[in-house]
Amino acid sequence: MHNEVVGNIGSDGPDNAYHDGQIFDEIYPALRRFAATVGAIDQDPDDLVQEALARTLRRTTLRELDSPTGYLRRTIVRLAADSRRSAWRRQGALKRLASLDAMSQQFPSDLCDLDQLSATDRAVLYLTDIEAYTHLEAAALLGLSHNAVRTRASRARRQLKAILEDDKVGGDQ
Amino acid sequence: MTTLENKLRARSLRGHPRGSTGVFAAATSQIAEEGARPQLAIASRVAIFGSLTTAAVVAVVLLASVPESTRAIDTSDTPAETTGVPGTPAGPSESNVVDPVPGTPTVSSPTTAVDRSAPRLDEVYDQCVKMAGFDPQGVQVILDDTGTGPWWVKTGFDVPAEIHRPCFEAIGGSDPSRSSHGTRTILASCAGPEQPGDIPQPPLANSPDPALAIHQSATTTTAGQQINLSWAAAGEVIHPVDSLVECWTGASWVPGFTVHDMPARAGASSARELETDTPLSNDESAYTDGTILVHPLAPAATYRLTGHATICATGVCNQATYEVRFKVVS
Repeated sequence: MHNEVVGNIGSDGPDNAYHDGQIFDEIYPALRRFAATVGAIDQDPDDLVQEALARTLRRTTLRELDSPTGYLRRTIVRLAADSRRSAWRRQGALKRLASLDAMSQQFPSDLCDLDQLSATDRAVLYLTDIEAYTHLEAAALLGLSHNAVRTRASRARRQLKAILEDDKVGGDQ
Repeated sequence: MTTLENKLRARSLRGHPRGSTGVFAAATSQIAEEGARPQLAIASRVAIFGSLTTAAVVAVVLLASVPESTRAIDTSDTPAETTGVPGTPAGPSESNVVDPVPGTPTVSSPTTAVDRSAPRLDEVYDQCVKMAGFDPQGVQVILDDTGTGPWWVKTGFDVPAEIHRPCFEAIGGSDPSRSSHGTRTILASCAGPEQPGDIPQPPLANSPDPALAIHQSATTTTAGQQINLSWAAAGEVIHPVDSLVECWTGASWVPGFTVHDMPARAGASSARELETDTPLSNDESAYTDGTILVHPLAPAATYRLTGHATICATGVCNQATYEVRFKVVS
């Protein structure tokens, strides 16, 4: 159902970087949108994609991967999750709240609501709600079990609903 | 659910894309730099995003050396000519710059161009957000920059034409009549006085399992206004898209127009799976709602929206036909 650029686009060229560049050209737009969703609001999506790509290329080439998109997506989720944990360790709660508040003012909508979900939860919602993957497909893409994806999707929706309702109540006051 | 989708879509488009070539070049430069100075590589593993700053600087340096070129603007809703945003200062956008990857062969394909007058994503978005009537909470007009591809317009599912069109024109759309989302071919046979009286009740949903019967709500609206079509089913609901809307001629149903969803991407499924406990539930029952919004630019008439859905409950999936009727009055 979902098409994906695969790594084996050619085997006659000696220059892996050339082929990897071609592969990356095709998968970049989707990866960037994914990174923009999964990463924290103050995290540059291109930085996430770049770091995921760099980590991948240190180990292998894109053309050698069965699913470079899937591999990079999983890497992006891990990086985003690690960054989130590091941020919480580095910053005190008050500082973080102040930062989020500043970001809320910087961005013209309430996109920061999504920051209250984990990176993995955002990835699950994005893949299922926007890219229309089934839970089973999203599970395979993220390296999670089917049940884990279903649970995360349900929990994230409930959590977001509660957040939005709180916001509404607060805004009405 | 539309709000969540809009949030996710808008979030996925935030920032200024550096482009695939720029990111790839920066990543390869990052690796080369770490290889040359392993002590820095170790440091970068300790502070991942500290090293990203260095990489970003490298990328910016690389990008700054790119000669100017031109880039076309395209809009998905209108392939016609485009112009820059009035009042938008012309200038190169980092996100649009394409840089050859160091160490890679030169590709003989046409060079991706950068239009110096092209509005940046945030500028266009800000402009639309500031428009009267635009609801920034809904993020109803979004733009997609593929990084190396053309600009094009995506509209939210529920953006009224009177809000979208000024924005569409402002970003260079030259044919406002094509600004509304979706492609609808309205047949002349749908024009005419609406059916009098109550909306005719449709036959029961064609479900192989009575427990999965789909319930529908009927709505009346005036021409040009939004209409809220909803249905509910026990268990999971599959949100259909590209649904055919027919109109009643007085004797038979004839094709009216098609409601298109915003395509997530090529090859994407035309169905969306929802959880049984999705926040769409409107009461404490076991039912789950699905809601779809269409813009009945269609003439006054009685319409029905039909489609097929796969409804799954307790792991068992069945095909079912749904039908929702609505009336547009003059």
